[in-house]
Amino acid sequence: MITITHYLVLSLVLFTLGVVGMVIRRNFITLLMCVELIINAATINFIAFSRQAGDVTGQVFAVFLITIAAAEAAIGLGIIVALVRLKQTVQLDQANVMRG
Amino acid sequence: MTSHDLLAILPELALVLGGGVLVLAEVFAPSLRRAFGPLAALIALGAMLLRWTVLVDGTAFAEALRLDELGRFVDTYVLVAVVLAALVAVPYLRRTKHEFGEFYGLLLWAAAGAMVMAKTDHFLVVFVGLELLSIGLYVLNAFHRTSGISLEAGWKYLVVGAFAAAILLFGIALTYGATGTFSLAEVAARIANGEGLSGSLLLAGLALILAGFAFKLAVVPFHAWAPDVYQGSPTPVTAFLSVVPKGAVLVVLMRVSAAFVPAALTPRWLPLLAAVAVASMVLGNLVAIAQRDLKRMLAYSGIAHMGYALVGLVAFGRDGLAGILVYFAAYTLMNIAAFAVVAAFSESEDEPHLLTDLAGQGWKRPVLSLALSIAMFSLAGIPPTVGFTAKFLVFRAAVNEGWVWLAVVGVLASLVSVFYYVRVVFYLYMKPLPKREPAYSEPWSIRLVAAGCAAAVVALGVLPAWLLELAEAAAATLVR
Amino acid sequence: MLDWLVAHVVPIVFYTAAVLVVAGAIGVIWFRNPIHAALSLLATFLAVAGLFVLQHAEFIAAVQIVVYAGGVMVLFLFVMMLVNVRTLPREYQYVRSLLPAAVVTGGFLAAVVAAGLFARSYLAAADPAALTAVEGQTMGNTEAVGWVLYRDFLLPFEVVSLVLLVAMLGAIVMGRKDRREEDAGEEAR
Repeated sequence: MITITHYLVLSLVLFTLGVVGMVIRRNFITLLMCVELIINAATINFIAFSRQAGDVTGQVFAVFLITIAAAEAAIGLGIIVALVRLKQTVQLDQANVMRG
Repeated sequence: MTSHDLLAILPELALVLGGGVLVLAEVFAPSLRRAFGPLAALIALGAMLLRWTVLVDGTAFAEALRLDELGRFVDTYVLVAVVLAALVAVPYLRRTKHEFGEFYGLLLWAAAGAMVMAKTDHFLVVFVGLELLSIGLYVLNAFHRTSGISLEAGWKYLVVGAFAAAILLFGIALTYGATGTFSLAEVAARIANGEGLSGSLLLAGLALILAGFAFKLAVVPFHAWAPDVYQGSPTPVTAFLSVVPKGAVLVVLMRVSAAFVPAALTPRWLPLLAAVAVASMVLGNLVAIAQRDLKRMLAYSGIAHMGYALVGLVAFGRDGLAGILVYFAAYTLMNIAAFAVVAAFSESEDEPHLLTDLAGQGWKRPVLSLALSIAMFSLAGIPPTVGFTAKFLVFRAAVNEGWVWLAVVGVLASLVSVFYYVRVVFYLYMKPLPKREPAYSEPWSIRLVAAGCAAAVVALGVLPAWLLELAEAAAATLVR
Repeated sequence: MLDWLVAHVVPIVFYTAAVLVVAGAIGVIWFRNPIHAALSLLATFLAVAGLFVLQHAEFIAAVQIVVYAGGVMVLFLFVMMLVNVRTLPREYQYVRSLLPAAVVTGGFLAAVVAAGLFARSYLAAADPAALTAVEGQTMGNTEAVGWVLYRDFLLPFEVVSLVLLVAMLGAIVMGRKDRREEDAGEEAR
């Protein structure tokens, strides 16, 4: 029997993997992919709870979530293109000049 | 959609359409570029006028939007921040050769997002409004795209923002799982009826919502992004970023607290908030002392100020909420004045805005220096400025609700903060001018913003009755 | 054998999709070549769409495939072609200063799992028929979502259209050539 808990745990694993990726990877594009992972993890929650409650509103929330994730990816990739033009690099340590 | 719905969002429509006009003007009438900034300020003023003349009450858009005194108060300070940021942006954009209509369009649209977000008690609308605000700000942070630190600020804000949004979404999902609704009003009703709610799920959801919002508020331990983003962003954007998202998020937190606090959750929710407030006040003020860059110093001071505002949320009640609202009006004025002057006291936007840049400017540039000094005194909470009034109200509410130790910590923390705020004034007036005199310009719009904000800070400090009345009427919509 | 499959179709699909989701996510952080990471991400997206179908969210599953697999993935690959990054040099840790926040969040999330495990005992799943019904009549999941979307959530729908406009404009602003180059071009004319 697959219950809500299975989905919660799966979404948590996906979220954790996304966060781990954000912490250990320094490549801009991979970081943006990790952001997509954690947003997908959140979407799984909404769909699972929507099924649980028998309420379609959770699915509507997921539609908005997917749209906004796409918009965020577009902006992120735009900034990456501008950074590459400026610095000729996609490594964070070379773009990271502010400290303290 | 009915005419009632349209009337309800008239100010937002004005902002959205006005922003669109500015973006199109960039393409079709580029010769008007010089007028874009003042035009954006006028559009925001027009929206404010509409908000206060076309009075629509109740709900609109199938209860997605809630129009009340609180909403009008929030809209007013968002729009004031837009007007000030647009004016500060004029010389900045000219100097960096980024005088594009898109900047003002994005500014107005982001403000519309903040206004929508603060006027709803539905989590979906909150989320969508927050994202409109955030996505607009990612672009604005990185707007000076020939500057490495501006792009870095945009990038960092985006990564942190997406992370915060995901945590917020987890919290919203759990709350939905526990209650089966996204509407705060319905959550409150179900809690009041004592329907079979899952308490632990609700508490976990609430904690995650708080964590997600804490990122936007930049309170400890979710503050690490603030100094870098503040330093790297174009200064007018920093001014906007430091007040508008925080204000809108705090209002949402107020609505969330009003829906949840009467429930059995209170004993676990309040100590959590109090701990975050104490950590922010202490850490923000201590680290600010060590800063040499003014924008970073103001970032840490902002962390501490959110701690003070959270004291009001811990106290809750009508006094606490009114205190927060007054705090925000005060914070908007004094913070934007400070950023406006900091922007003027530097030769290049890529360089750090060092404290030593201010040396000896006090008598040389009297208007800006006096405005900066007043802003600093107000941030430190020295009477007769509005900063003092705001702190007094928040701490008094805390004492009245039995949080004496919290108010004592707050007062001690603000005593520490006096040191670094007054140090700025000391550099302005007591240090000699450097041998090579820096070539700062004093554009009219910066002088207007700085003088206007400083005058308002003092005026509202001496005669706070009007502001207090508005804030209390707004707070009364949540707590009777 | 067939009977066993039919009886256990839900767990089989769930665990297959779950393994794919996790394997794809591990691939995203594991592969050094961003193109491999992107294809791995694609596997996660598609498997998540499978989970949505399992949860009676057929419309969202379609949106997930169209928007993520069709849109976002192409965007990622396109940018990779544009900036031409293949392999990456030695890496070390990013934003150490965010670690306290990560630790606190980890604590919260552990509480979430505990809450979820606890919730299982008294949260019974509702009848999935509600997910395909419009005003009491059985129509289909797409109709049900559309009905709620345009009846109750018109305002967020309009706000989100503005979000997309901002994203478009933002991408243009970020990708545009330097103003100084443009000005130089205009003056030369």
